[in-house]
Amino acid sequence: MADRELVNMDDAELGELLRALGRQRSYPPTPDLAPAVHARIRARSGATRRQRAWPLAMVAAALVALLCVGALAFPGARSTVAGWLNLPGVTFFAETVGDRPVLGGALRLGEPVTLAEARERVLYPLLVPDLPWLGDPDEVYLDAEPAGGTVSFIYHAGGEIPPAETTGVGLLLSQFQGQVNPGMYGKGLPDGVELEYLEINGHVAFWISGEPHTFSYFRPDGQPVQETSRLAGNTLLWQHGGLTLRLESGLDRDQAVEIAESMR
Amino acid sequence: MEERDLVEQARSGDAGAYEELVRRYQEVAFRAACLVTRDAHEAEEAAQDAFVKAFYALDRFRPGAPFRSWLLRIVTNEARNRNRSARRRARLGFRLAGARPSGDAAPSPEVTALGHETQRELMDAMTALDERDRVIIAYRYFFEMSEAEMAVALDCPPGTVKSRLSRAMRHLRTHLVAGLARPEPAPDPRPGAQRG
Repeated sequence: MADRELVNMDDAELGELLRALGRQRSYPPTPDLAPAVHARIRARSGATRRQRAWPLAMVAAALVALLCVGALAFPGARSTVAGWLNLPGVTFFAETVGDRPVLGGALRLGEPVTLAEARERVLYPLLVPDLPWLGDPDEVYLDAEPAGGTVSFIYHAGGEIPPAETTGVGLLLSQFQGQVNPGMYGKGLPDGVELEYLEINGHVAFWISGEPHTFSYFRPDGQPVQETSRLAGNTLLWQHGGLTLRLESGLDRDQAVEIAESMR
Repeated sequence: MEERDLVEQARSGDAGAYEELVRRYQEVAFRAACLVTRDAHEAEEAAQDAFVKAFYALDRFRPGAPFRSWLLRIVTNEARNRNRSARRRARLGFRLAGARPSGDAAPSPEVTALGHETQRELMDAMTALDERDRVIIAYRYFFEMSEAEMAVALDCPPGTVKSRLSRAMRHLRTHLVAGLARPEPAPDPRPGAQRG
């Protein structure tokens, strides 16, 4: 039977007992985490703290310079940038946000398919979020580019998914093969847009929030493509194995990361 | 070396300085993760991930702030993410059965005075608590954090720490009352009764 005196104690008395209890080691032995943490930090040579410590303006300026001077003329320069950021197929460059594109329908994500069809037709194991509150995608699209295919999932707004600010869609999640065919992908970083570095799956990831921004990418042949049919809301860009994934939504950062980490 | 210096060196990219910080705080980080996950393996993974994330987030650490509290905020968030994505897990709980007393110090008089039954009741009530309440109580009494440190760790205004702790204690008491109605459990037959 329980100690009735415990129940009748005030917070201070109970606190003293808890304090005493806390001094008793009732935890599993603490593993030595330092070697693994050290190794993981070392392994990420392309994204050291020193580089991260750069102010955003410096990062943007460096990328603008690199891309303006050499990107279009020297595809190798783009690969360098992508490797530097440790996210294959992705880089950033500053550009001016023009008039907001039209909303809705014209997302130009490719051919509408079923999830099963998408799985069969892409050249990589398709990843799908595994979260009860998110469920299955409402629409699935397949685009042939870049090589290997791009699959985009649309989730309708509702429940825990707020409407994205400009697309009217709740959530847009795209994946493509970045390493095999490092088509370049750009994100404008105008005033009002914030870039935050995160880590997902042991790789650097990017959380881009704030004002809507246009985005562009380079096709495998090196030609830049600018998409103007939709604007991104909050965007999470990350890597999973050989894939680069992009999540655009009105969700907050932690929810976006939760989705990213649930991909199976 | 002072914590402030280590943090500053780590911020400038010194992985060695950060390794020293990891060694200083890995025990409290692991234990905090245990409080949330109640699984030693998950706690280890969460703590490790949190240390890596914290390294890359050092730019956002405010110099002079309590590093331990800032770190614990990341650790508990990481552990919660693991809880959300992993529904299975053999519950470790905080059973005292099989728990080893501290080997590096004689039991304190308070612990000696704390009867086994009292310990069990307290730990059962802690285990039954909602994870957020459990973490708040543990911050205060197990890790002996000040209210200012708790505010950083909980990412809440300092003024709300007291009320949140008070609410958690009220909930703990509710579970203690509930314990009165339960029959005493049979002894745990497993030799260790905990993983890790």
